[in-house]
Amino acid sequence: MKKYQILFLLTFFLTLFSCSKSFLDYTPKGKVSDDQLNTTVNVDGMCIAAYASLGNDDWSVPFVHTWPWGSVRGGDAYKGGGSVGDQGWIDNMEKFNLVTVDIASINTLWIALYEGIARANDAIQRINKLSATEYPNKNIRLGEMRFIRGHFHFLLKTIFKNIPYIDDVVTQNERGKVDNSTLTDIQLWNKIEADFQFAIDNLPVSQSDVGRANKMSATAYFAKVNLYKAYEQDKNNQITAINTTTLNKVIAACDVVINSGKYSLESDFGNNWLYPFSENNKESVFSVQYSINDGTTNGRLNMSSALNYNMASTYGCCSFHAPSQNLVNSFKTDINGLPLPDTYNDLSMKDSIDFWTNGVDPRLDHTVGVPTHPFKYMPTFIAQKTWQRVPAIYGQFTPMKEIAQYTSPAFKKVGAFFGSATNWAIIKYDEVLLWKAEALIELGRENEALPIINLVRARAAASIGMLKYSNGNLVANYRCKPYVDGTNITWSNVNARKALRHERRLEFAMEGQYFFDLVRWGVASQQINQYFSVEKTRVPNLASAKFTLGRDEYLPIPINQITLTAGLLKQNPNW
Amino acid sequence: MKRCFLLLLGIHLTLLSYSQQNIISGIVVSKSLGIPLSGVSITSPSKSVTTDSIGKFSIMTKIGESLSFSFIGMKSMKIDIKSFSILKIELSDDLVNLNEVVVTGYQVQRKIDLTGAVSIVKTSDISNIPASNLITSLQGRIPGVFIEADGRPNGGQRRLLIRGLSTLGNTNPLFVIDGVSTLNQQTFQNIDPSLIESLQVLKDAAAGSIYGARASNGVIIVTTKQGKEKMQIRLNTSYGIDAFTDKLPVLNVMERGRALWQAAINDKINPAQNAPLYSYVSHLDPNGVAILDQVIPVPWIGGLESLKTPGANTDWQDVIFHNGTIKSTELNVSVAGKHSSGLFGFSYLDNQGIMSYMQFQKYSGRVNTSFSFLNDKVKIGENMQISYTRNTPDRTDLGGSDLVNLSRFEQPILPVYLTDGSWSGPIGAGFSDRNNPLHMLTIYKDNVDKTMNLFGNIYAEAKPIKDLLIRSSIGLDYSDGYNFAMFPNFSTGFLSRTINSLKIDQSHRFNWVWSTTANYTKTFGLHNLNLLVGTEALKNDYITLGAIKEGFAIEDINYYVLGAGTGNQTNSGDQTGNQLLSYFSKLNYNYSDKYILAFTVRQDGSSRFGLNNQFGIFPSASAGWRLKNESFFKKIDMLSNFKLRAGWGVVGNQEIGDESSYGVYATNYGTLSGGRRNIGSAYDIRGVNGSTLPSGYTQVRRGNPDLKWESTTETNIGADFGFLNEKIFGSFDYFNRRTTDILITPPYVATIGAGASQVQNGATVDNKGFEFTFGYRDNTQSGLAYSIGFNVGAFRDQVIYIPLSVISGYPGNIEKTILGHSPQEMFGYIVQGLFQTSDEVLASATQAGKGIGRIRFKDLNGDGKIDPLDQTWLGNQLPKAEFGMNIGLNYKGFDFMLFAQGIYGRMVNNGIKSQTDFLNTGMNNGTRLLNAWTPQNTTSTIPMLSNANSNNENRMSSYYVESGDYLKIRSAELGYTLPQKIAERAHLTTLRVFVLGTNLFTIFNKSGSNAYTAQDPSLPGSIYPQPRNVTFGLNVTF
Repeated sequence: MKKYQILFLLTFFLTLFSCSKSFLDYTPKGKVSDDQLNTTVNVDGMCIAAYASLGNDDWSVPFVHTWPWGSVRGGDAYKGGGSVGDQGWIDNMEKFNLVTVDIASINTLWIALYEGIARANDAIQRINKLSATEYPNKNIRLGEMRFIRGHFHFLLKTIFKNIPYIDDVVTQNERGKVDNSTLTDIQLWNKIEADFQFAIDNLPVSQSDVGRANKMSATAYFAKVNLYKAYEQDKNNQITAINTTTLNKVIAACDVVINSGKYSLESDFGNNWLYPFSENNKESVFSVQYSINDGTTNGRLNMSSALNYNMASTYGCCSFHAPSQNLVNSFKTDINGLPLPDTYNDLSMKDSIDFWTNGVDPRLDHTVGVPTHPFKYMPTFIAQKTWQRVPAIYGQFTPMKEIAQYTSPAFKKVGAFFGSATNWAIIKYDEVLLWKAEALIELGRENEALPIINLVRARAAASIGMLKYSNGNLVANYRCKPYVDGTNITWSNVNARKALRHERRLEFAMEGQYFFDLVRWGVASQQINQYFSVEKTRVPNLASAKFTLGRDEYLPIPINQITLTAGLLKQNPNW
Repeated sequence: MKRCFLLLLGIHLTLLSYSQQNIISGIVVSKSLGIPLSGVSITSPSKSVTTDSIGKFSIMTKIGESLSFSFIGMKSMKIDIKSFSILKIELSDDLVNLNEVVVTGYQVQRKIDLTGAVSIVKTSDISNIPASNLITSLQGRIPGVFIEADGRPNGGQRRLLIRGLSTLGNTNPLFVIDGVSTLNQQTFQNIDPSLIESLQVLKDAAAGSIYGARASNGVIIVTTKQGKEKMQIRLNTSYGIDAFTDKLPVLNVMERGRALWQAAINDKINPAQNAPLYSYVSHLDPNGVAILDQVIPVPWIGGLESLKTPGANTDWQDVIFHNGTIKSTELNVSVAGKHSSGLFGFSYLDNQGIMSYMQFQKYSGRVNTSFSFLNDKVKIGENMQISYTRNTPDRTDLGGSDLVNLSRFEQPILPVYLTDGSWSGPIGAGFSDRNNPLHMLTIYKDNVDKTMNLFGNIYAEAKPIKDLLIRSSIGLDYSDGYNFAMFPNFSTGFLSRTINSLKIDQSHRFNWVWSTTANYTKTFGLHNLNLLVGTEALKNDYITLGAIKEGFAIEDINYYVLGAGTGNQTNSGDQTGNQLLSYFSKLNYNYSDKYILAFTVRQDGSSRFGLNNQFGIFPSASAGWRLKNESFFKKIDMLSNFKLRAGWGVVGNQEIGDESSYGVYATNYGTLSGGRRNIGSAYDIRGVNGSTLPSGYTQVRRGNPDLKWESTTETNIGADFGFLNEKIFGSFDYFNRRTTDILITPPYVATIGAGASQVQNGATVDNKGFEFTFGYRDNTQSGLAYSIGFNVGAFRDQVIYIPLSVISGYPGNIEKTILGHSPQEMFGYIVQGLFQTSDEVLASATQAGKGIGRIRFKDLNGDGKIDPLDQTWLGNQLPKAEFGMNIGLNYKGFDFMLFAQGIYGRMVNNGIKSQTDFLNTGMNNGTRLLNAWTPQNTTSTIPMLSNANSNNENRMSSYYVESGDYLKIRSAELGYTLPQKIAERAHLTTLRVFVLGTNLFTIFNKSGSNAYTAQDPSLPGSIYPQPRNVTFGLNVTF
């Protein structure tokens, strides 16, 4: 008996003390710790992750294709979709007067953009821990990361204006303590500009990985930043001055890009959105690289336009981003093949015949799905009025630039929606040209701008090769001619500015840009309210829409962020 | 077939036992009342019977054997058989069972020695309820325990709160089943109710602190039955019918047409523009008001007959919901020898829910055995349960829409089938991008989640020296999950899937716990001493594995194996785990059954916490005073029991993620994006498209090496009392708990960056409340035994401290913080009715989208504009009180039980109101909006119909806050036990038939300003409704 007693007591005490503290040791599975990342290979990985954030959006926070913020607010497009309430936040954007400081999508957008900045800063902080000997690409990668950081700050700046600027000097835990009121408007622009200046100074002209930023893309972005910076604003978003020094920087930077010889216009305007011609073509200065069949479930697709596919049975949903009647009218040209910036909107082009009785800029059929016209260069795929989901509210036109051909290898159905692996250009060469033209005109050098604008127009005029029915007939009465001073226009500074601004609208229509142009030029309130006054007679849904001067130029700082910082962040004026 | 075989086996065994015995018969009466007692159980060493309705019994026995007689509320009696003459047995009243024991954590204690707040559930009350899980059955039976469950066949989504809610993470209590602890609710649910010997809930910290770091959400202790001395076979079988009773009134095709027309008129647009699926005939009355004469739905949806989609008037709820059935069978065999015992159980449950193609099946088996040897000084045994469940997962449509919700709000004009018999789908203008819900349920009908779970322990006990019991137990909780989901192609209307796929997810959970205890009991005169020391080590591992394959040439379930697909494939997988190491000790002291003291201390170390705070200590002390045993109380005859209790203790909570204290980065290649916003770390930097991508890392979490336990300090004062020989009995507990360092993962400022979440210790919440139970039971002269019981639990909780770092984790805004409020309080705008005139609109505060007939939000701070600073507190989502009531009757073989449960003082967010009261142009809506405000119907509280939600009326406001009070008849059961003579003729010991109804009806606030406007206030929002159930069943023992 005794031996059993001993045995049991022994077992008991054994178990009581057999476990030691090391039993509690645990290492997270499938994860890496902060320190493990500070190797050259992993720092390269952190840079890739920062690049990945460039395309990490979707239709609920589109910031690659900024259609709700830029096109819908700019009057290029109506919201579209299944009803006025479908994605109601975009309806609020469309009408301005319904925007409130607590719209969730505004907060999500803010979060997504700062995520990109955080990834870039994380990479920068790690790169800085390595010496140039350990990490020969050190300065190049730093330049790339500052390019990405600059890109996200630029988006924030143009959407929200008064933003906290986050660089790599502040530690992660301190980032929440950065306010949005210490830096003046110009100081903020200077910070963003400095990132691109650094990139210019450290990046090579070309990189073997085509997706990386290079000296030219940084120079182009530098030009863009300076163009926005040149139109100086007061606290109430009103233009106080146009800075000529800054404009000269725009021109110099654009010239570097133009003279590099690296870029030129595609022969056909439509190539820029047509896979595979769209992929890093000669017009692409900097593009978000999307991919498909890449080992991920659906591909790393552009989902920012996922709702914008029309109701044709080959697509099926959801018909958002419906081109406005005003936009379609803006493509009208006169007998000389010139646009009608003052009168285009007097009569509407709606029915098939209207596109023959009027002259039409060919860019219309690269931009808008017009009923009876072939869609997206597929001659037998004829657009229908029923492709717009609720024609009674949102008219009959559907978007085209962001839509991939349903036969394209880049097209993918994702649930009820659609994605595309077609790259999306953040900066195209045509835009570099028009930035330069804009700066020249604002400097009173409109004569130098004339050939640049005509270059863009000539390419547009030539872009009719794909706009044909299957019998080879052209789809519309395409008429697009260059400006000839003294012949078809008096190329005064006033007329040149008018021409440039209209040209920009046609060239970049539906790309999510026009609203930001209007704000930059300081004409948003006037132009948008004018748009509403006519458009609401066509679209009763816009009856209550109203743009408030001094407020609606920028979105409100999301109330959530103000709350999270206990009021450190200050609200934009008049919100 | 198998079942029949076992049944036959049982009968044979019973027949065998007849051979060498004789019958003795008699009558049992109550000594005090002199009346016959029915239902008294009489046990011989080989057999057990009960008295019939007039108190008579007969039983096989032998001279020299002893018979024991037992009956609830009576003193048990044992007699030795000396002859076969007719017996008359008189049982005397004894409602105090002094020796009833309960399991309180690593040891067994007499109930009378308890000093903490422990609730004991009468397991007989719940053993017949055919619910798929125990938790639902417990609803309302334990004061202070709040349970929410929906009606899914697998028991639904559940929330179980003991004494309110302090933490914001996992609120599950710790389940301790046969000494093995688990937080896995499923394991608890898999236990067959009829195999539960006892179920206790440790509510306060004094009782719970023996479980230390995991006890702060309370502890539920379950002990399963062991083999009994005599051979017994028990069969419970039942068949139930579930009925769908919570149909939401929604618009039919004509009503919907009218609503769309009215919205267009209100919006001053042409109704034809607003309603592509309708045309209208209308005219203007003399006042210029448009009057609708006729609604004409389109004959063909999509406009063309060739699309084969006729306009219909479908009642989608009738299409999707129907009566369901529940079949349940349990068979148990219990045997025991002198040194061994065994219990074998098998059960099967098949619940075909009320929604099409929804099913839950459960098979489970249990083997509990023990053997003792060396003069019973050593005992080894095991308790093991194996269960297998098949459950239909929740399904969504192509766009991810929930199908329960869709079954309510798909448009009535859409037919179920096209004219050619194929599935319909939305086509043309006027529809949202939502699928035909029956179509979706049908194509996903073979998708299934299967889980195999093995749970139990192996133990050894020894008494190496007198008064010392050493016990070591190795427990196991192993689960294997296998989820099969196929996604076939289809094309209906404008929605289609063109690439089919198969998704398989597997999970393996392997948890073990090894506990060793030594229990020393010593009596010195009137001093009774008990000391427990123990150690416990626990390790949890969880691994998941997922695979998706696209491109299946044949859409047949038999073809859907991963290898058969030819398209893209993606894999995913993850792993986590945690360890816990603990030392504990408990000292119980009892002096003369009058004074009871208990002290506990436990030290827990957890891998989940930061290296700086890995260990925590959880002490408790409690005392009891059995006043009834004092001489001055002994004289009061009326008082049969009186005990005062007081306790103090500290318990912890560690329910955060396994890796919460670690700052980590992970690669996110993009396999899990599901097509929505990608947060991946991979990028096609080379611009090559179509090959694998380089990938970096993204932050998952910021680390927090100081992370520590959330701890709850609680004081509990209670009393147990009984009067008139325990005819009246009850208990009362008051508690005051303070939870500090509450674990939370607060939202953070965006500038910090994505993936920068950080688990923190934050707020302090005070929670005070009481629980009260009260019962009355008696027998009348006519032989009616009856009992009534009532319990109520109430608490108020309040945040009393909140650091700035976690404030964002709670409702509130920059001016109003959660401080001083319950963490479950709702926050939003105050609705001041609707705007009636344009003057009112003009005069009111600036409010984007304001207008006649729209909601007028209150300008709380009077700054002339409606903005987020005008929000305030709208009511608490936790009830002020929850109560339960039961009535039991026994009369001549009949038994009846009624159980009602209710809550009081709860406000709910009736989210479904946004679909019943507001027009959605692509979906259907509730009939409530037919009564919406119009210039002619100005008394309505429902805003004017509109095509657009310009006024953002979906915002959280008092419009949605409604009373969640209700009283539900949860169950009623009527049973009849066959007189023994008849039962014996069928060679049965007992045979009871019963009919049971559950979820019979609900009383709630249907009118007035606080009315609940949907179907069931216990399930606010659009979730799977609870069916009404009627079950017929048999309880048979051999």
